[in-house]
Amino acid sequence: MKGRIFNLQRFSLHDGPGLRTTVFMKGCPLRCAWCHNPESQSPAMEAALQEGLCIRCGTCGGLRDEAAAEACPTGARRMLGRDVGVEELVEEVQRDRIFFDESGGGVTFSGGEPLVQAPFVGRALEALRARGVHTALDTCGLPAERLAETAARADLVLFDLKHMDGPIHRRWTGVDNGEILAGLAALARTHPNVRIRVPVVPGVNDDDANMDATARFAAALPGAAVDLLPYHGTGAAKFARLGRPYALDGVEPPSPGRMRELAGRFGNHGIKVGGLP
Amino acid sequence: MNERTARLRQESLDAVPSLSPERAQLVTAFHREHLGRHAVPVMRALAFEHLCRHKTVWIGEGELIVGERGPRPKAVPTYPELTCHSVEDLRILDSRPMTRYRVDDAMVRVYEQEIIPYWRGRSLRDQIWAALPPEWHGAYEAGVFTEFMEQRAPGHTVLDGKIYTRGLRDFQEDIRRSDAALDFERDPAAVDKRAQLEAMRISCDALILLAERHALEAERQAAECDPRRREELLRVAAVCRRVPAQAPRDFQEALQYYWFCHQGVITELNGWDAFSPGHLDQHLLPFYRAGLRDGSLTREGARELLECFFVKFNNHTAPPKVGVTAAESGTYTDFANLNLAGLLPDGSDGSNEVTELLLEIIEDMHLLQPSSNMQVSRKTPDAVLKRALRVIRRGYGFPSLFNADAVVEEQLRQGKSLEDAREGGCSGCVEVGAFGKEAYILTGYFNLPKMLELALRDGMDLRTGRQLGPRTGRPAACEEVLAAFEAQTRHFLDVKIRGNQLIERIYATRMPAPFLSVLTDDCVKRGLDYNAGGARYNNTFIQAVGIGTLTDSLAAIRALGPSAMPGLLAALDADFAGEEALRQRLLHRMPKYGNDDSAADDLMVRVFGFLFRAVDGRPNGKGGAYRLEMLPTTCHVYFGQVCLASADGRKAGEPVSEGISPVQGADRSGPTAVLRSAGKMDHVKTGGTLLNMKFTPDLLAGEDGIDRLHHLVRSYFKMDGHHVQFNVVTARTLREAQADPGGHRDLIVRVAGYSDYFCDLSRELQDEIIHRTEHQDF
Repeated sequence: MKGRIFNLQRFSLHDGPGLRTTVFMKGCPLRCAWCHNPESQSPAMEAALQEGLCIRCGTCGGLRDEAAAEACPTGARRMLGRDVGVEELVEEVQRDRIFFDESGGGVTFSGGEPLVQAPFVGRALEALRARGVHTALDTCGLPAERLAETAARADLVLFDLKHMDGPIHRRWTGVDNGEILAGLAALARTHPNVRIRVPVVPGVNDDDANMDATARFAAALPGAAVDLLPYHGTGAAKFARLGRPYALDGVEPPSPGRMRELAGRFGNHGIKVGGLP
Repeated sequence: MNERTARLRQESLDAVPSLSPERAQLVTAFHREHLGRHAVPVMRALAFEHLCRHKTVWIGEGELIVGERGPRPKAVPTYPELTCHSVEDLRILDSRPMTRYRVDDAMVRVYEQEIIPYWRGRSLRDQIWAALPPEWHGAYEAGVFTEFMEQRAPGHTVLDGKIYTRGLRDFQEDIRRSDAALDFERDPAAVDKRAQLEAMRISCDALILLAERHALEAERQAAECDPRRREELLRVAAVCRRVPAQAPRDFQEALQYYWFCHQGVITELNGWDAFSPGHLDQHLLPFYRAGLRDGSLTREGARELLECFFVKFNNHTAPPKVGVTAAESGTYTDFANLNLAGLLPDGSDGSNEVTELLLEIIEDMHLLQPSSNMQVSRKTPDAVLKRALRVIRRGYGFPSLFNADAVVEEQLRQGKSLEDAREGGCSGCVEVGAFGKEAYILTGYFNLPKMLELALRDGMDLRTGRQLGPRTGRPAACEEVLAAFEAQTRHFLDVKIRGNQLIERIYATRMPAPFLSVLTDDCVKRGLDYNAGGARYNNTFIQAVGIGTLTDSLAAIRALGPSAMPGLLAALDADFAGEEALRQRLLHRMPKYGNDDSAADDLMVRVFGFLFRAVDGRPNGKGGAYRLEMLPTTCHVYFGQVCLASADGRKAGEPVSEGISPVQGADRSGPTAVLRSAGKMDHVKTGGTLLNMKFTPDLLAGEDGIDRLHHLVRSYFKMDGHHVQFNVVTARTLREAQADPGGHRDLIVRVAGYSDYFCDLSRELQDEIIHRTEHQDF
């Protein structure tokens, strides 16, 4: 069995405790406007061109296929996506084991959306866990029917929650949030270690009403912890590289003051917020 | 810093390096008068005595620790008996834009009239130069290797704890006993030993005399100043009458005693890396605790004395080289290096409250010298390491971090006792030694990429147009290339070692160091000089440079296959003219060391194994053995200048990789991958390795940042990594400094095994430091 990954990121610092290796799976059911890995959305192998690296040598003949990527001397043209077997992936992840042990780190499956390739991710999680590697799953909760089984194999679940309002959620991510909320509620009752991660995107979900609703929802779940992640605009350049429009042009990251204020709102509901710098 | 030490520090920073003819004149006059009247060691000791009797004694305003090598701070003496500067050398030193030394016309005249006429043909360098065979000169001129001892004396050594319980009078008693035990009927070397011991005895008297002269000067100044300073000066005078003759009784005496020894060692000869006190925190602890207990010392008082002590190091600019060798290593740094924490001889944790005090001072004073390192063992508390990391995060480049457990293991492998190994540590840049008991001599850098260059071209050096190496054919397949590389390397290691043996014997017979021998076990017991094998342990290092460039080049040759060799070679010969696409492919699409990619790293491991077998254990002239070290200092820049384009995509003349760091910019898989790649080398088999990493400050912000760095260091040391050092700067800051040196004079960066002022570095070296991969937060 092969999985399709978009990137394997070592020395990953923000996807769970300690020094981690994050495996970015390719393919995602959501189309979040602020996505900072838009290349990971499509499940297909994709050709990409990084203009800055191109020396106009003409080796590729202007083509965008696999052969062109292979021939490109600078790596400006490349294929996004790599198919790996479970054992191969486990071997790659295990290389940083000494750092995991030292720092309390491990592996995080992210994406894209790992649940899209749930059978592969489940096996990889199992294999890594069997070797004593701390495992985390970073998920948006869809496809919902695959959540429980896969999440059970991870020591930690990072559950992304974008908006409490169904239509607004659909507007910014392309899908409704009904299954997501239900899945999260169910998971929090069975999984011992779930952290809810809320991206704070100005003009999208950072209004007091939505934040209060999110806090209320989280407070009702047993043992749930919340991280607030301030929006940053690094996705813009990547959308451009893919030739896709970026809907959030001109949106500024939330101020540290606003982030503190929001943390305070969650505090009012008895939730201590993590993830702030 | 208090008002006093802040002022002393500023004066030290403001002092302009200059050359002083005083030592050269004293030595020359003495040699003129006495040469041929005494056995060589006695002659050297008497010359040392002459210096101690006549050199200018300087005590600066407000100083509590006294003693300068030259007549005033940063006035650097010369050593014409070793290497005699030419008039042209002096003019270059006075006029070059970087690391300039002021030389006045009077000095030039003295050199023209007195110094050069006497020493031309007599200086040790001239003697060595004349004795070395043509093939040595050929390799040296082509940039195959450098030679340390053609510029400065063997040194690279560090003091242990012996001076803190015994005075030089006690050592003279040891010398007397050793002399009394000489067996003139059965030991044919007894005559030589007596002369050597006599020289050691004289050199102790000489240093005691120098201390007495400082006492007199302190008293002279005391008669002319305000009551407060008078009291201080009278205290200084009392200290100088106690030490170095007798064992120190308190904190100030301990520091002053070391500083006199330091003066002695660097006045006698200009040994490499000056001299260092070793485990200063451990040595000072008894005096510190006793002083606090009986009320004679406060923490602030100890801090003030240490700060005065630090300023003395910073006043001591390195003696400049002769010949136009500035490109090899142009620096004011004299490589004194303090060891912090580490292990006690019984194997327990050596960190203590003085460690903490020293770290505070290092952070606060921010001086070029003394450099500092922390010996980090499994037993070093996390809090102590993290305290050091907070200083490192400030971006000063020190303390550098060493793996104390690996340092012990490396020494055990060389056959040292466990206690001696634990009392050892690191000096200069990264080299390992048993402090106070070892002569561990660096002999020169060895250019690995040049070996591959010759291997690809049947031993021909295209740059000089000479058949430089043996004719090993024109290999195409990677295995053939490796075989030719090994043959070339073996040949030039033989040439280098043959030269070393000659130089070692010349130093052993013509340039003994009796005072340094008093301080180094077991020279007194054996009646043998430091330079002649008197030390308990004698290791000789060859420092291999450019393993990253070599590995990546071999990996590319293997990946491209034998059929690509003719085209590749033509492109390299042409410095990639018209072959930019090929160069880009070599730069970007080939396996690279530093990415935890076995397609490259396996070659590094293999080449390292070969080098180790080719060097390690070969006998040196002092009863010890050759060892391999992986240290570049700044020589990777010079070696790059003499190399053609290489198969890793590097253009001709560009620097080769430094230490065991990946090729600049080739590591693209993050810091854990770099550490994993470097960790595949068997560091325990070396006498030191150097790994450089650069982080931008944002990655190290907050307690999380310290934790990250801490995890990286501990993990690397679990892999037996020997040393790692961190540059914490932004490339933007460096570019700003390049554009506006005046506004960034205090910007210290880690160069290789040491830190230097960024604005004092050559443009090339500056560019290279900017270029080194920045590990960005992803």
